[in-house]
Amino acid sequence: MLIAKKISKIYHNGVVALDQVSLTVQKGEFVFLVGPSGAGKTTFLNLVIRQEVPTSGLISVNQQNLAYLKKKEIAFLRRNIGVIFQDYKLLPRKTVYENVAFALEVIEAKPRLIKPRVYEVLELVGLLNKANLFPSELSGGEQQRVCLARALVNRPLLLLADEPTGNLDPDTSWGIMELLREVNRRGTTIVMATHNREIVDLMRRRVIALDRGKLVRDTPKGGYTLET
Amino acid sequence: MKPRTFFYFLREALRGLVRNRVMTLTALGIITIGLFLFGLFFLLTANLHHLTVLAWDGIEVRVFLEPTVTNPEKIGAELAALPGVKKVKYVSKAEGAAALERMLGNQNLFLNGENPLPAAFNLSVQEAADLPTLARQAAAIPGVEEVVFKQEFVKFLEIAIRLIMIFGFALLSLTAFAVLYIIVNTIQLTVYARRQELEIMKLVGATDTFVRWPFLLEGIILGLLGAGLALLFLREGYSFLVDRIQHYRRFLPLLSGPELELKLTAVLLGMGLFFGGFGSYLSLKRYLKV
Repeated sequence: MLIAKKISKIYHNGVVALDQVSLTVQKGEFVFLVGPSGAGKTTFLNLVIRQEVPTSGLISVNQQNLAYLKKKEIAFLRRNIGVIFQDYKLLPRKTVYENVAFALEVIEAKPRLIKPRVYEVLELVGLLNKANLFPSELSGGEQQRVCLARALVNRPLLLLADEPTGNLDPDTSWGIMELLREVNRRGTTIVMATHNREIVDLMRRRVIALDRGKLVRDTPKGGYTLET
Repeated sequence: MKPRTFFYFLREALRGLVRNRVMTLTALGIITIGLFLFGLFFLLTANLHHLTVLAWDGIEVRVFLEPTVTNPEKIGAELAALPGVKKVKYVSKAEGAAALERMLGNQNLFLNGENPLPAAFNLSVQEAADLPTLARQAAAIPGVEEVVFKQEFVKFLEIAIRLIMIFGFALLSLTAFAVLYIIVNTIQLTVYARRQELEIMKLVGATDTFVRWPFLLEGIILGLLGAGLALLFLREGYSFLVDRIQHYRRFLPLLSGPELELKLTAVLLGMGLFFGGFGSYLSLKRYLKV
């Protein structure tokens, strides 16, 4: 599903964000990407959605080498990858329904498909009764669930989550994790960057640890640190 | 493009304009003011040009005939065929004398009642005609004794026309650039206010074309609305001005009428459409690199 071979990312100011990172994520896996701030987690996710390109090395998603994509192909790549953000990135002037439908409209999905698909994911994340509210009328956890619904509505093969529980209280965070577990159970591959030690330790999934741009640990059913 | 997609773009554009109404109204106000100023300079230049054309229309070349000429019609036809001649009017000896008497108010102008004035042709000339050449060509026609025109005035008028053309072109070009600059910056602000929307569109897999169209349409709608408002203010203001001037200063004939209105409408709507669309296109470029 996702293959990275010796990828490095060095920014113009000389900062080494990733240094010779190699890893493979199989279809259906749930992977935690852990490490301190500045370890390179977000850079890695940005390379996967082709928001940035590696300075060297090879990265491919679904057997597609991301280095040689044309602009239009980048758009098509992103239709197969759902992304959820720590800051939700919801459009404040659109309702919950419109925020989710937006992801289908911009890829020119047939109108008759949009409504049932949006309601289906809103039901999955438990927000069917809040479809007509604006993001400012929702709690943080609810906004994150809208973000998750938007990421899932295209039925992506791969879901990237960048600190999805970073702004949420423990109970709400668990709610989101339950949802991600359910989405993964239905077959979607998930790569989640997180600082949340408790969640990683309790979920016992594969853990890839980055530190100062280097891959320092890759443990199946691991904890947040080697000791846990 | 599928009609469904186009209507989606249009709906999104209208929705964008309504939901971001503060930015919309600000941009609309600025575009209206810019296009109003451009229209004002357009009218000013057009009127200056019109006044010089009127002055040119007043210029006459007088072609005096030899006393022995018996076939003035033939000379008249030859004069009419010269390049730059608009109209030819024959003034017989008697008509010339009558005109002179009218001018001087003396009924017994000539000794022994003998009329010494030659028969002549008065030529009206086209705007910017080459008068010295025309005079030379007219003088070369057999039967023509002398050709007279106000050379100094013609020279002055020629310079005035050239200056007005240069001044008008420079003024309109400068205003057009200033208006374009203002419109691009204004639209850039509206796009900046919605950069998150653009980023999300790109991240969920929208193509550049798909992201661009609603914004282009928004720019075009804003440009056309701005042009429409500017036209409304200009029409009302200008007809008020023409009425006032014609009331107090009848000798100053300002341009008016449907032809001018049509020209102004076409120019301003064209500018609104182009500047709005182009402004959006330029503003978006930076945000499509996500």
